[in-house]
Amino acid sequence: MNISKTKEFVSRHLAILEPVFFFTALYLFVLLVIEPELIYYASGRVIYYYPFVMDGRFLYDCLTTVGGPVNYIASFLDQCFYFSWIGALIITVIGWLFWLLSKKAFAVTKSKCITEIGFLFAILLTAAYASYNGHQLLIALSLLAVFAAFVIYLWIDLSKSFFAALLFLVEFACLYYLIGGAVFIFGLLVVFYELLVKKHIGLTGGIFAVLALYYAGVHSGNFSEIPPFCLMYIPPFLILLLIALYKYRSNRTVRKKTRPSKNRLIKTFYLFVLILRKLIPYGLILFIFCAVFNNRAKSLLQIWSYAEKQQWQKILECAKRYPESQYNIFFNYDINRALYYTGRLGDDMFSYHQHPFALLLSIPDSGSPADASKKLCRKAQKVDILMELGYLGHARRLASEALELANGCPYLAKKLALIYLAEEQNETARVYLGALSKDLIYGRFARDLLLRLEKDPQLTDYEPVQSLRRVAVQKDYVGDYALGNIFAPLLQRNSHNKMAFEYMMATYLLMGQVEKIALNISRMNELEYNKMPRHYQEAMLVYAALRQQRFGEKINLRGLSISPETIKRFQEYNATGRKAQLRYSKSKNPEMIRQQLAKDFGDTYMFYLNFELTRVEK
Amino acid sequence: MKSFYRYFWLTVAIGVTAVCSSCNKKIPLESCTQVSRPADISPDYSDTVIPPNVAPLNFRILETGESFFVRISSSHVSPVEVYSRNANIRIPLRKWKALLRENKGDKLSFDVFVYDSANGWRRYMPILNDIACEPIDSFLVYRFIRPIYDYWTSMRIYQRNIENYKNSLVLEGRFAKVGCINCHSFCNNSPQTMSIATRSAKHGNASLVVHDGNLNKISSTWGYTAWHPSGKLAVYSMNKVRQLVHTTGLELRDVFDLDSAISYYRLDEKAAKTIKEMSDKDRLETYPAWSPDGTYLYYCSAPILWEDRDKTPPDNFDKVQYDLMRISYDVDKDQWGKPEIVLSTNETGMSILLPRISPDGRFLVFAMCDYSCFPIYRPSSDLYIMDLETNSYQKLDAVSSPYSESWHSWSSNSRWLAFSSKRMGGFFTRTYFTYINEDGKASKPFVLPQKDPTYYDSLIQTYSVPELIKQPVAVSARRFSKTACSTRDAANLPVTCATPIIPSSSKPSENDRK
Repeated sequence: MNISKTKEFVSRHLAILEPVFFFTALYLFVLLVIEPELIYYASGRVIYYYPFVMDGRFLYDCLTTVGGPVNYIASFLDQCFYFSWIGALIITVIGWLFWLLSKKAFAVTKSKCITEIGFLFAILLTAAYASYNGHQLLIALSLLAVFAAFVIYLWIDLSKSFFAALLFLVEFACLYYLIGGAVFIFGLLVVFYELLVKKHIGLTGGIFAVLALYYAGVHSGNFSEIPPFCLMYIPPFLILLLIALYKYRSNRTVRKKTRPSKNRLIKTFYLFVLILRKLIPYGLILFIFCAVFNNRAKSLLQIWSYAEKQQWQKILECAKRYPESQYNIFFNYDINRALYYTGRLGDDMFSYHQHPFALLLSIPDSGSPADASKKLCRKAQKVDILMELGYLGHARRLASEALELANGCPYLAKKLALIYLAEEQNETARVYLGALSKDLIYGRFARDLLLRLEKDPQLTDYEPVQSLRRVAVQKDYVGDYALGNIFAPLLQRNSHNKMAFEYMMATYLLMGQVEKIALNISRMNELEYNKMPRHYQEAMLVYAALRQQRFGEKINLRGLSISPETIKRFQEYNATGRKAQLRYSKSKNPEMIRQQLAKDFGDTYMFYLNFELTRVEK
Repeated sequence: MKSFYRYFWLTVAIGVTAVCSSCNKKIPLESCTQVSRPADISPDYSDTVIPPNVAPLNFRILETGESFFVRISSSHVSPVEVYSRNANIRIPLRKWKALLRENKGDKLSFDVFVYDSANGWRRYMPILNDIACEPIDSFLVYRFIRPIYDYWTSMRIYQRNIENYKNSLVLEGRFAKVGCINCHSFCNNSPQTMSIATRSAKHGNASLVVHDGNLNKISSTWGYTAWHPSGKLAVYSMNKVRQLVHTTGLELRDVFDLDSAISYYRLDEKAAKTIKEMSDKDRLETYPAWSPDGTYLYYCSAPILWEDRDKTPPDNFDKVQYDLMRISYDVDKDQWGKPEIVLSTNETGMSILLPRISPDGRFLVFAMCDYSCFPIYRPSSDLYIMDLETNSYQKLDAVSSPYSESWHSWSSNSRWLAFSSKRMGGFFTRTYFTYINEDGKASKPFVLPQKDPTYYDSLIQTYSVPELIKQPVAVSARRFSKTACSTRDAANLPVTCATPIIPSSSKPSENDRK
């Protein structure tokens, strides 16, 4: 076969295959590693929620507002992240469109530049999502529109300044309506293009004056929600710079006909450079994975998504994979809920790292502005446990505050609807369900529930509401409650409130209050336990040992069904502890004792009491 | 290509014909089954009195059917007919206006017809309303927020044209980087003289004051504000507000003033002053309201029932009840008289709040509730009317509901009252209107009409503090925002003195809202 034809065949197919391969790899990376569904669950919890309503009025408001169209599209696409595969597709398609535009930009300006630079936007967009800092679609779509308008400007390429200025103004006006304040970036691109490439000084000055007027008169009205700077702004300017450099070089260099070099070393070098160019985008993706990817945020979001779907076992599996040193209070909170719903809270809670504040997210509010997103997160998350325990009023309050802070995020409206239904305030619940019925994701749930409410206003067969009614506190009181008092009203209201009982016992365990465990252990009789949970057994053994030690009092544990295995383990713990103390007493390093015991007894209550509780107190 | 265009225009013609034929559907009125009750509609626009200049009362028919037809008629002018394939009835604006304009003082009838394939057309008994002779002020200014507790993100004040559905922004807190915007107040139902209070961590607390069209910023926090009819001064309260939350109940929020007092600001002197005669440190004063002739300032006053003025909740907070008071004033001499009790809690057994006097000086409408200073959070709150000629008062029964009614505003012709009510379920505040006749009798209220009949079914925001005004607010939202963010202070008040210094005998509290 003819070598030149082979080369042509390879380069033509490479030109097609390269982007296919790159964008397929990108799609799979986003889908499998980033999991766009998690971004959806982060919205309204830790990242800003962009509301979208399937409503003619909302569409009308967007179409009649500057920047409204891009807001509408971005908000709509944000909802689609609920399905990971669609979210990954959206990110890939946006990246692909930018790459197409960059290719067009090089083609219309007849610039032979590194086409791989077109992948940079997709890479930066992916990097932005990999940090789980927020939705990027508003920025990405705005920049896409800006770049598309710029490419049109390049493509039309009017030589006369007057017509070029006219074209600029028309595009500027259209873009301003479509994307709002981001139009400023388009203005800058055109200014630099006219200055660096076309060298139309007069036109540049004119456009610059328009931009300055716009900035002073209009832009300060804040018609844009995109930040003053972000990394994604770089690719359009980089492409413009490459075009400018190419034009500069091609104008200065006299073109000589060069024969293809027969030097093997040079050929190898160019081949190496070519391969390197092709591999750089993939290298950047790997770099993102290593440097920018926020694994901690991802794990937390995974847990939230599982909690929302009530996939409790998956939460525990996720928790096992995650290093304990990076646990945070929100992690713990959902792990404990998962333990409760899998019937293991009393048996296995100390198999996971615990913090006393995590059980009920009882974190004091620092009042600092930087604490704002944590405040939202805390309020939004705490709603669930308050609902499940029976404090519907407090749950309602927190959900309303979180709804306000989260810009009307629908999952909070859903919780409010359920709370109001449980409190038999059907009319108010209908309004929340009415609002929710216009949401893309929650709409079906809301419409179904409204129909059910029509047929049966009491919702007698609807378990999510009935379960709330069974435990809801009826007695009113005013003011906050101390952690220790929270459970008494719940158990007074319903002594069969198993969650209240187990959380109360968990609180006492976490606070080291073994005497209160002993005081309340008899409540188990009302709750149909098959056996006493392991940690309660351990706590009773600790209690008995302490009473013996401090007061010489011997506590009879015979009626309490403490298993022989637990007793044996308790004795082994004490024996091992004494040995370890003897061994390490000279070094006076309690950490050595802790490590010795952690191996075999790290999941026991005794270990927590002796080593973990003191750490927390510090 | 020619055949393509031919088929295209044929399709368009068929479509237009189909649409027109559905519009001009003939209802076989003679063969309708009569139903011996009026149709259920939402919102409830039945047996009420409506202003002749109100926007169409679009509604949804709550009867099961496949097609719906409504004929709206009165004595003069052809009826307005609306046919719909769904239950939402949207009345054409121009025809509606013509109908009302020509039938002032007359009855308005809604004949509702519903069709289903099993029973054919059913005709319900007509829904009747009265068209008043007196129009309502054309604009309503209100605050639009979600139900909130301690935190909020964006508050907006809008003005709505009551004669159509146009809504425009007066001020949005987010653009001005302000935390809270509230207490919009107008002089004589006119936006030529008005004020809006703002609170911002970044730009400080201030009042944006429009006087004769000029906008200024005054670095003083005005609470509940009442403009003197002359426009020369504004009286405002300063409230140390606290909120607490109950565990259960329809309304969880409870608000009280740990302390409060009333001051005033004279525009000619650009000075804030206190009213020595009213500044009792052992009493709470709030909710100022002027008589139309400007000779009396009405306000609410209650004894402070707790010793610890910082404790939350304070002792006996659920026993605080306000008296209705008034004090005379000479605007030219800037002199105040002595406070007098107009209506005491000893007589009513309830807390008397929010006095507002009709512009013709005849009636005073106020809210009463079991306790508290914040009636919107008390389901027991209802509106009462006092005849200032006889000083007798009665409950506005037609307006009352099991839920809170409060925050009322008179129209400039003293015939209409706009007020806030939570009657739609008990939680969300909506704006209602009622007609008050010469004898002080109120009509059944109706909710502010919307273009979309189902608007309120999914609205999780509230309409609060409705104020009726005659013309639209001329100052743009942008100007308000810029002024709120500016550092220029028209009052030249000392920076350290957000509230004026009071003589030692009595001391008001600083306005302190979260």
